Amino acid sequence: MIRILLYEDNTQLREVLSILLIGTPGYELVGAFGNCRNILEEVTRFNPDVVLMDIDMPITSGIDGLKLLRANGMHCKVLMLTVFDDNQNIFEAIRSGANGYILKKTPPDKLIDFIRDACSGGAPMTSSVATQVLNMFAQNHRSKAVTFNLSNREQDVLNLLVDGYSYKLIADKLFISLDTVRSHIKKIYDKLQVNSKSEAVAKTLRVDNYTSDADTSIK
Amino acid sequence: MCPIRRLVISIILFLSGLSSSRALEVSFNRISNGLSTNFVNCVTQSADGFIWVGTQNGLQRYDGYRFRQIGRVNGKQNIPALPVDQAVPANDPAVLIVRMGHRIGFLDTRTLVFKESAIMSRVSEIEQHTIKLVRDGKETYLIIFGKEILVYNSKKNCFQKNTAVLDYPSDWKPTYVQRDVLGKIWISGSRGIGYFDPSSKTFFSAQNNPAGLKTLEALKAVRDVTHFLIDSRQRFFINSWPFDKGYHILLFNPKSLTIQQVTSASNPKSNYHELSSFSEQNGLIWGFGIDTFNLFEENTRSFINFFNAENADYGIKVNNVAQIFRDRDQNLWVATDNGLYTMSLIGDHIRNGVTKADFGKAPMMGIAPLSKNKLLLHSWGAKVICLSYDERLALVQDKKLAEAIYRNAPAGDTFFDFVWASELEQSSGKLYLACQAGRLIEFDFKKRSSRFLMLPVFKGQTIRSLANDPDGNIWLGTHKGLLVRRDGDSFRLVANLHSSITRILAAASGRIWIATVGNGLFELDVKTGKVCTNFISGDDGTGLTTNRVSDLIFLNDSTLAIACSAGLDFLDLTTRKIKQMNVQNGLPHGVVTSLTTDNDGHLWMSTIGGICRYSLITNEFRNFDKKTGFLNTSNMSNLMNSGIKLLDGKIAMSGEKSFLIFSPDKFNVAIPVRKVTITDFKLFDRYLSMDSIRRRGQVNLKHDENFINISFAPLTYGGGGELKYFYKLEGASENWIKSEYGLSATFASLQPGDYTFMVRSQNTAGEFSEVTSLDISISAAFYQSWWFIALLIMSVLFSVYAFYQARIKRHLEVFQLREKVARDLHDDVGSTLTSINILSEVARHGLADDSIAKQYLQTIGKNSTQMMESMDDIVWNIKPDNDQLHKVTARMREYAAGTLEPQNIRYSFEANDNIKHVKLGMESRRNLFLIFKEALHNISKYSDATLVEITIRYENSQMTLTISDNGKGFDPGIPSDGNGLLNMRKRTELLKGSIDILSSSKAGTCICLKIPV
Repeated sequence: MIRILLYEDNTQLREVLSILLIGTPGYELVGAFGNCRNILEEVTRFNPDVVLMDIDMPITSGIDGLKLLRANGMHCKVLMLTVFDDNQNIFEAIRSGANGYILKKTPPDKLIDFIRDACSGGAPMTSSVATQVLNMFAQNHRSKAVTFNLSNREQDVLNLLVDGYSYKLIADKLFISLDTVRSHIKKIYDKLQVNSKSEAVAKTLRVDNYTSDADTSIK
Repeated sequence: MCPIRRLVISIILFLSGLSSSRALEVSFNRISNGLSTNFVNCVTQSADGFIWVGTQNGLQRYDGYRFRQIGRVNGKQNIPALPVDQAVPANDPAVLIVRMGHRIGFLDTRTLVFKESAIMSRVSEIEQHTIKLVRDGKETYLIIFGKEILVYNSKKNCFQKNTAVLDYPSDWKPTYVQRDVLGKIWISGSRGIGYFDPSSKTFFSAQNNPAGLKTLEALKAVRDVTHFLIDSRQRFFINSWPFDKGYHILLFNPKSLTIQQVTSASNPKSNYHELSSFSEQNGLIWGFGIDTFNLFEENTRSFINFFNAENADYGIKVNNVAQIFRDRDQNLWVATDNGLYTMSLIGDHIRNGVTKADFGKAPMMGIAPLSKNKLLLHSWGAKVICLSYDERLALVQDKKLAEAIYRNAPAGDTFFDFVWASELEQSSGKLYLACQAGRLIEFDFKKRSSRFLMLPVFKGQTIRSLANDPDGNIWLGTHKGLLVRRDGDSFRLVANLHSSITRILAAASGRIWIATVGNGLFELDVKTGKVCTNFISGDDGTGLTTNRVSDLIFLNDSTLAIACSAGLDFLDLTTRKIKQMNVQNGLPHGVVTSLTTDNDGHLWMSTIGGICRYSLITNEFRNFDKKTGFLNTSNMSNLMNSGIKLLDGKIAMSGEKSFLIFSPDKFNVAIPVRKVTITDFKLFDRYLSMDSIRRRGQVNLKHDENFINISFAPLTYGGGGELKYFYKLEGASENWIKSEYGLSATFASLQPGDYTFMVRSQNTAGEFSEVTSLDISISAAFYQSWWFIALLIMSVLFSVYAFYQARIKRHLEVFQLREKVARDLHDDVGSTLTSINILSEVARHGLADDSIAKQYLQTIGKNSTQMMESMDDIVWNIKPDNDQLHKVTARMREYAAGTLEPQNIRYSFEANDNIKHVKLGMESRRNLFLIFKEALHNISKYSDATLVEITIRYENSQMTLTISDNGKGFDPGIPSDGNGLLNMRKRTELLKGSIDILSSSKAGTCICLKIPV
């Protein structure tokens, strides 16, 4: 049973998603909130496996919520929900520690599959996000804080993603298997998170506005 | 005394005193170019060379070419606008003391600033009296006639009585003052003449003569002296004018203590005359005044008229001579009431003469040399005159010889009086006179008698020309073309050339040349008498200028100069080619009447414009005019039409009524080149001060002060006309420009910059003078300076840039707004659509498979999904970043994956790398994508294909999209339901492209879309 915590400010969509998730076998919706003001408390209480987080929420945005979680050492999977795939914030979210993202326009049946993929680490990466990822790694070359760079293969994958290639096409083009593609992408995500993690750590070492008891230890 | 009748010449003068015997000739030249009035009162010269002329209209400055009125300086009246009576140089030669009536002041000729001086005189009503300025080298005196003499005090700038410098008895009534060589200041007055001794400060006269000086004693009887002159020989010329008598002139010689009365010659036509001034120039004493212009003749001790006022060519018609002035070039200037003249005293090397006295109305036909200093003038109707001349060109008639020639002339046969030509036959020494109607006079010098011949060979034709052949025998040519030669005792006809023979010229080569009027030039063989060549004029400009040849002469062994009725021709005897000279290629005057060569090889011509000399070596013409002593040729009466070289090398030319004899070698000196002076600088119509320009060293002008006129002159007043002038404005042009009109240069619309004006003169020998230069600097207006222009350009560029930026910003704002709207819409709508989608899906699960509601829900789900996709497309399309083709293809790939992979259709999607740089507009993107979507939709729905190949190529500005599948195909001809294909075609049209749809059941379907990019 996979435990899911949902944050979505659009009431109608929240209700519908709740219905969907409740009706899907193997998934348990443990909570649905309209804002992530009290996200720490709620995550602690409900202990979900996956957090579905809408990016654009009032008062505390999804990214801030994500950052809060990661800063407090909570490792549950976080998937960002968004309408547009070129949302700058997706990239930002991934860097801040999100495991992936889901587009709201995804058809309902696909939605569940994506959640599953994301949990296993093979979340999709659309062309625009891939472009941003590429740019980030390119800039990293210039900045001093170089942590992990992409390997050649990962770069090839990333480039193809930028050109809109599907995983299948990438597998065909690079003469590798689909699983290999997925694992490359997972590695890319990991590297993103690692890079972002170190930054997050750097940030949390300074004053943190949102948590009263700042836990700076990293698990 | 009765003057010896000198018949021939009226302006010749004999001064054969005990000292040197000298013949004097004078020529007057009127200077009038721009003189504002003829009433000239005085003339002088300042240190810089300008001639200053005081007239009844004020002061004018002459530079050799033009007069400039001096009065207003930069618009302000400086010197009073009064007639100027006297102008004399002050102690500082750049300053002139100017007297205008009873006002006197100092004019600085450089700055043109006038400073008036006061007159401190105890004489009341000065203006009633005549006043005069006199300088004696140190002091300046102001004589109030008959009242007192004042001395100039430079410290106080006034004229006042100064007994330390000059004193005289209170009843002296002084009239004139002059310092002698011993320093004594002589003062004349009503009581006579005496002197003031500056060392003893005492005035001595006949009445106060304690030392008993004989000179003073001798002057006792002299009374009522109006003026006097002490000449360079210490003689006194005294003008005494008692009330009751007329004036008389006394000559006092202090060495011999003699006083004698001297007569003066006045204008016989006038009732009143007055010799009011004496002047000594060049050792000659001049006396002039009202209707009197005399020269003192030493041997007769009298003042005489030295010119004939009636003779317009030589004399001047004046009533009043006010002053004679000599400039630093030794030219003599005469200020008269009828203008300003320069007076040239001609030396001994030229002599002009008129024949009216002897020939009367009969025109002179020519001159022939008789012997070394004897010549013969012959006339048409008045027989001949014989003249002999000495080395000073003094002429004496030899009447006896003239009589001897005509003794025993046949009575009644007046034809012998009309002499056309005269020539001495070299072989026999006889003189031949060619006369009218075939007559010939042969005069034998030894026998002193003539033979009067009337030979049938001449057929009664007037014999026009005579010449010696190389053997020294005489040849004769008649008016109708008969050519006759003397052969022993008889005269033999050689040829008939049918036109009047004007000149016969023998060549050393055994040829003889005949000039005719009408048939051109003939070359004959002397021995045979046959015509070898006949040169005539032709239309092509290669022959003679005209067929009417008037004169002929050899320039050298191989060049023959020919004067026709127009122009001057040179015949090269070796090439037999003729070069025509006329006014357009260097000949100064159009008609040459006679040709003569001198011993130096120059060609002297008489022309309608005067006497002209040509040098074959330098190919240069030089004119001679009145200033150098030659006559000005102005009309028939002074036009020379014949010339010969005399036996001693002098040249004699004659016209109808006058003749001249001169030594050609005395005219070989080229005029020395003078450095040119810049006289005026005019800006528009305002004169700038040359003095301040000189001090500053250059002229600084503003950018709009760019119309300038610079006048220049050599400041010579003698033979300046022979100089040529060239100027150049460095900075505007690199060429020297010859100044053609009036010695000034005008420049208009000069651009800002630095220029140098340079001018120089060139004499006839080709030498250039030093260059005179003036720097001119025109500063740029602020709007022409570099920084202004740079600023202007920059501001223009900046405003263009700013405008462009604003435009871009506006566009960007529009885009961003559009995008925001779309996104906001999508956001809102999208969420709701998703909800619908999910709900309908969830609802569907709970229903039985065959229920209709299930189908409906499915449709609802599909529709909302499609709607989401469309909205997604719209938002994607709006984003300007997505105009690049490779982004479009990325999206196409994503769509292909989403459509084909779920159905397990294998596909490939290839695109060229070069599409990276291609850009599509928003509408085009949309259309392309929709076509693509449509195609894929058809494939996934209808084709049952298992393999799809998609390629995108970009070549030559054209993009090609190919989609081919291996499905079952369809018939494009059959219209299908649904608008899919129609839409595709419509969208292709909008893209201005072309689409080919090929489909068959075997090969599948291939859609090929080509669009221009």
